[in-house]
Amino acid sequence: MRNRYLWWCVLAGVFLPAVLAAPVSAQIEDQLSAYSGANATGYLQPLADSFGAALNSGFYRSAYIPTTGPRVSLEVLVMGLYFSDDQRTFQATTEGTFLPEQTAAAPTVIGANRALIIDGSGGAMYAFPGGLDMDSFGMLAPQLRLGALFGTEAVFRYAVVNTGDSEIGDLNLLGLGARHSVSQYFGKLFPVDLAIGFIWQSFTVGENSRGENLIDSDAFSVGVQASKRLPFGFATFEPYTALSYDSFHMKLDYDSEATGTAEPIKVDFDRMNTGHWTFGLNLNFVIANLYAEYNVASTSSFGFGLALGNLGF
Amino acid sequence: MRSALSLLVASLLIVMGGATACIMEEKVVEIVVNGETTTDFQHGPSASESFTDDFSVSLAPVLDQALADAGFSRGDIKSAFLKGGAYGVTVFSHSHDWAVGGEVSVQRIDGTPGSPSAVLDYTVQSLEGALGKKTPVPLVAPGTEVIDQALTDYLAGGDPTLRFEVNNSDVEPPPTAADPIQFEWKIWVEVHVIVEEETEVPDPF
Repeated sequence: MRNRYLWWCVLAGVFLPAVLAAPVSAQIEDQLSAYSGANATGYLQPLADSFGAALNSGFYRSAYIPTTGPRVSLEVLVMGLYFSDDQRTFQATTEGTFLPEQTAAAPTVIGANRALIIDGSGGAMYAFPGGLDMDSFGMLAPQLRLGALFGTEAVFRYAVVNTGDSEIGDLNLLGLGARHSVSQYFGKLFPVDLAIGFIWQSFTVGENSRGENLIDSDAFSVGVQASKRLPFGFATFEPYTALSYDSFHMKLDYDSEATGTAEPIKVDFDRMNTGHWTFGLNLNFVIANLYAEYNVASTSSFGFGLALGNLGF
Repeated sequence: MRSALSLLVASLLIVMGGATACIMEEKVVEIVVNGETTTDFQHGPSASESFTDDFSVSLAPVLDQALADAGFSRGDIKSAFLKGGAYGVTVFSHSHDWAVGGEVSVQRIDGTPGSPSAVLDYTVQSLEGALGKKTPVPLVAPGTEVIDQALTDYLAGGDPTLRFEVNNSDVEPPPTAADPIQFEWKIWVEVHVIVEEETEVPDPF
């Protein structure tokens, strides 16, 4: 019976990223077809910011790592953020044969769903595509934590979703990370737990007409965490904080018809590097763990989740 | 312990199930489809500065195909309008350049034919300079109105047919029998079509 519940949990964790991300990837390919490279970057920037913020959160919820002993947890991470008003438009430039060339505040991928139409010379008109009119973004990922050996633990994120829809394509998430207890070297009198760690991730979404990934991204985060476990009835209450340095890079490969004929467009977004401060609360039960946190970075976000395992020991 | 785990996992699944149902929002999104028609011309060899070429376009097949390529149909269209026009020289082989000038006019030829109205105006264009390029041309309002009206009629279910006529009136240096002008060129006419698509968008918080 217990195994059955565990599998339900795993399936839910793997399935939900598709629910959240697949419709976006299918839709943005239609929206993007009107844009060539320069406009595509501005149009998709809020989505790139969101992916970066989502991937580089939920890596830790405690700095406590025992020196040795089995330490296993299967975790479900939920990350969310609200888009700001200034992310809803970008400065888009007309393309193709429209004259005169003009720049206008057009909807981004999360902006107003109505197209923006501007007037040109001789009665010409130009339309910038609408966005998906989103107020928030969410991402959910399964995570496995294994340890501990010499105060070190490994963290894995893995999800492969074949949607069975050639238009949507697949989603692939692979993450590998490790953390090491630093406070184990300072003795038991050291007032807090300290750890350092890193995580690298690869995340691909969707499929273009050539069978290649629509979005191909990678993320890396390295940082230091601190936490303090305090008794809380039959559980322990654990405030935690962390400082990290995050990096995120995204590439886009789609077909544009902005110039009148279909042509493949590859867009390489600038690598985003940002400092990242996390503070959160962790509630440890015997076989489960709940957490909620807020992440202050170039794109701030919040997260919460649940872990099943022996992290509370 | 076992019942506590069951309760915890069941609670998680209920929250997830509820979240899945409520995070998706039905939205109507406006997508822009680029429609284009092109025609190739071969001119000359000619000793005349004035020459005329023409071509006709039945809008329905062109736009229906552009929409089908993007996965849409005529019923999905919210609006359509002329975005721009361009020309380019595809073949040019002379010992010297030519500068040409003229206009492209358009008229409806379905139903009761209308009178030609200027839609593209090209002045003093170097043929060598336009070789291999797609050079945008300023639109002229009367011709734009003809095409926009044809697009409106297409949206209403019609199949308007447009006749474009190239009227070249100026060549510099003037061609002669000993030095005839000869080139091949192409004209592009582009429209923007806004289609509405219903889609489910995740907006979880």
